[in-house]
Amino acid sequence: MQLLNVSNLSKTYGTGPIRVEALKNASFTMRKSEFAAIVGESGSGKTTLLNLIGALDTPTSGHIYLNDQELFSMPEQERTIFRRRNIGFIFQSFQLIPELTVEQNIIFPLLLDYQKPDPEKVNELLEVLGLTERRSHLPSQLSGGQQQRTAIGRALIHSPMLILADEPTGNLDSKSSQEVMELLTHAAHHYRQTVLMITHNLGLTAYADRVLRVSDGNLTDLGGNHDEKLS
Amino acid sequence: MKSYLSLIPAYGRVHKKQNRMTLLCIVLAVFLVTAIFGMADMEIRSQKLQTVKRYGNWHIQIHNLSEADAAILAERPDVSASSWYNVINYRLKENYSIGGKRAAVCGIEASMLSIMKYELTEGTFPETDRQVILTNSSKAVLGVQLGDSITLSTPDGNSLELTVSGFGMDNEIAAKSDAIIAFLPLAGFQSLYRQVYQTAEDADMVYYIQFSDHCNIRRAIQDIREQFDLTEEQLGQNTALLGLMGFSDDSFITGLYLVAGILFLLVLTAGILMVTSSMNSSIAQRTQFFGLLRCLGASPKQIRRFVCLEALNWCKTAIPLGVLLAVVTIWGLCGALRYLSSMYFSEMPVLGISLPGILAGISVGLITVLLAARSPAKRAARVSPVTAVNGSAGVIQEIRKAANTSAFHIETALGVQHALHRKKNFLLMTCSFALSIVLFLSFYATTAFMHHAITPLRPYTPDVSIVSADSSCSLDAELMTKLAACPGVKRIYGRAFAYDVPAKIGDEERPVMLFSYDLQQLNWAEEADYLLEGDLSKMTQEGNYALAVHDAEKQSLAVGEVVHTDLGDLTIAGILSHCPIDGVQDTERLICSENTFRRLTGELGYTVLDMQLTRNTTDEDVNRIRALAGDGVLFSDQRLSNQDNRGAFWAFSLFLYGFLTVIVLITCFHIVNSISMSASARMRQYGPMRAVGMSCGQFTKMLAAESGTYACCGCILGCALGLPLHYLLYHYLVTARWGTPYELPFQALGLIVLVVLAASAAAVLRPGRQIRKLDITEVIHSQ
Repeated sequence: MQLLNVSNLSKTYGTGPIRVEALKNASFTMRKSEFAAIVGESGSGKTTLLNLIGALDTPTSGHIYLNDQELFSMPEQERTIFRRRNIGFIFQSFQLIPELTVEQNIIFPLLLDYQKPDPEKVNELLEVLGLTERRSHLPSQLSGGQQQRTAIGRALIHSPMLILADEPTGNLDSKSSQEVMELLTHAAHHYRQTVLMITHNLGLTAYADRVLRVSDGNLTDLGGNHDEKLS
Repeated sequence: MKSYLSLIPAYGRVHKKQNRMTLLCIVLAVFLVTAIFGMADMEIRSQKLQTVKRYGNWHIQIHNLSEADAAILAERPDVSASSWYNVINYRLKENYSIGGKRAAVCGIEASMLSIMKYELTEGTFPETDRQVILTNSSKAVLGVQLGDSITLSTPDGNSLELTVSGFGMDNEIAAKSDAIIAFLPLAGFQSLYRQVYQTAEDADMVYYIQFSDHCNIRRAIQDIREQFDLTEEQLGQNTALLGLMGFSDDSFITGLYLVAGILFLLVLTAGILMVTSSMNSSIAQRTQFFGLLRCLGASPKQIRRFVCLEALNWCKTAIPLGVLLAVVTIWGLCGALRYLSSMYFSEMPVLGISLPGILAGISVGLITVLLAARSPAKRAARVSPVTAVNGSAGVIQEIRKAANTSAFHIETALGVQHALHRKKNFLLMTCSFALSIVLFLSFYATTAFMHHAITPLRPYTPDVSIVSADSSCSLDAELMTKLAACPGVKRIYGRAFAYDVPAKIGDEERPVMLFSYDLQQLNWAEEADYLLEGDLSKMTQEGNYALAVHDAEKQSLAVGEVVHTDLGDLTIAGILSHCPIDGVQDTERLICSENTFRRLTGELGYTVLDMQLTRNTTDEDVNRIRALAGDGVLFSDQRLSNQDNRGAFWAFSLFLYGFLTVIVLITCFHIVNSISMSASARMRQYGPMRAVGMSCGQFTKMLAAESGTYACCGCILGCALGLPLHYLLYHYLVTARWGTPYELPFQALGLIVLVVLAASAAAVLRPGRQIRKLDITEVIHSQ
């Protein structure tokens, strides 16, 4: 079942001589519970693509349909709420709210939606994330891996249709990276969530069902589990 | 680039917008200090000139001093001028007259003219005993010229032929009383005294002393007091002048010094807090930049130097701007004051430059900025190089307690947490909010002082008055009726007087000045809130009730106390703060109803008939009133002085309320700026929140919660500090002088709290707009 449909997406920055085409007519689709990785060199346009899909940025042209809803036809306020409810973000530098505990950070999207979190679900998630013992700790009291697991919890708590991860292991050691990747795979397969992850680490594409490559703003679909091809 | 410090102007050029707010804060702090101090300086200079013009440029007067002691005093190096002086018939109650006009006779030495700043417009100082100086207006009144003879009639029935040797400036008291002032040389004065009072003794003269410019007058007075063993009664001081020069030991003036000192400190603190919080926010916004500098090899000391020099770089523009703005404002205010009241502010320089004000502004600007830069400089120097690498803006490490999301919505909890989590910042912000309230309330106390000190608008102030020539109750009701019917007379009201009525107050015997109030005057006392205590309704009831008048220098009568007078017993029904009659030493002023006065004295007429005129009354109308009153009365036309007083009141109001407005505007600006800078400093934190789904509305609510926390805490602290301070200032400025009891300034408090809350609410609008435009992706990926 198709969840995400990216159609002829382009993004251009600047005008005249400083005009940069960050993304050129990118089109692809993703189905539900699919785990895709985006690879590419620095400045190739992968983050631009992720930002557009996450409705953090607006495209110059093209469309993005998430669960058949066109993201950029909605007004800003509606788009924010849509993003809050349907898209989970995981950033390289974690981006946790420093004033909130682990548990509060995880339930943050629900609180923004004025929803009462289900304690059982929160406990289960904390358990899965291995953060039960750390639930009352502030981000400053956590290791990098724990912070990123908290960020994953925040992305999972409201069961979004799509999880966007921008180099989630970029700031982590290999052990923590492995834990994070397992959690993301778990999310895709166990919770049936669609995951789109940017990574520089080609080794991590092994966790993905499918690999996309962005090069000079052009998107190429490399298909599923193409470790060999990529290397 | 010659050194790393060359980065400062380059950075400033690129981040003009970011620096603008800090620059504006310094400009405002310098403006506030320069304008307030400069205006106070101008006011003091003007008042000093006015006081010298009115009371003379003498500092002390000594009674009963021997010739020998006077000679020793005159030789003192700190005495610049001295002279003997006395006056006969100062109160114009004795029968001295020149050309049919009442006259006062002064005995002076030539040096007294310079001490009194009395200029001769024509002629010279008398060279013989029989020469005299008259005021300029005498020329028209008496029709005399230089060298003419005039006849001074004395109470003993004799007369004295005098030759006019000069004319001097007109005297305000003489003009108001329609009298002639004659200045005789000392020998002529003593001769006149001996002749009139048939004594071989000379009149007791008073020795006036003017000290040199740069001496410590207070110490000199103390020294003279000790050297000549002078009593309190012997030594008089020109309190007004000494007060303005800062040398008075009068308790009221000392109180005013204290008030000025407190206001000075408040303005200074406001300036420092404003600049400090602005610079703190500016540094907080640039943590990563300083981290980068550290990363590239800058030492903490270099960072400190960078921040301090950057602050001084701002001063280069901000201080001249602030000073210029203040100077122009002062010129405008001085011009307005002179225009509104030429009598009170005629001496005020229009384009005057106040060096103390400018110096205060510059030093406050520099010191404040350097002091304010210390803390942010240290903070900047502490920024770890890692900050530049990983982008964690140094905030995470400082948080120790999580936000309370169970009690509030998430955005409110985060807003409150943002306000509270950095104690130093919270304290700084709360204090600066509170200081706005404290500053406003403190300056507001001076408006109460103004309402008491400059009172042209008292309900009973007449435009013209008719006074019985012999101070008896000779003005009858028929005259009152006729006057009431005259064109231009809006209102007429009379008072009957019984002077020096022997009375026993408590165990003490002292005379009473009893005068009557009609119903209108009693109503005014009630409407104008002059009743300090007691019950005015008793005044219209049967029985001998009277109102006493508060006098700071005497022990007040108590409500219910009975005063036994020769006319009958009077029960005190209330105490008034104001009445139209000035206090007389050792005499109690008592006010009774017309009925009580008539019953006690048997007098049916009035001593004074006061009239208030309609706006379009002409001079012809006033002349008609004067003609109707006849020759046997004293006529006083106060329209001009009323107009000037009214002008003075409005001018002073303009000055004080102008400053209150400036304080309110600066408060608004400061609050808006602080919140805006605080939001800008957190902008990097807001990016992820927006990414995760915080809407613009929620973001605005979060900011409102943060701003509201500062505002509420600031209001509480402001009230807690401002109200006691307002009480203290009110006590020194008003209660100590006029006895008016303290009342909580609900209106002013309500207004400033409302301003603080409204400004705090408005302050979130700009950051709200900023967050709408926020490029979330840029913020997130720059970290």
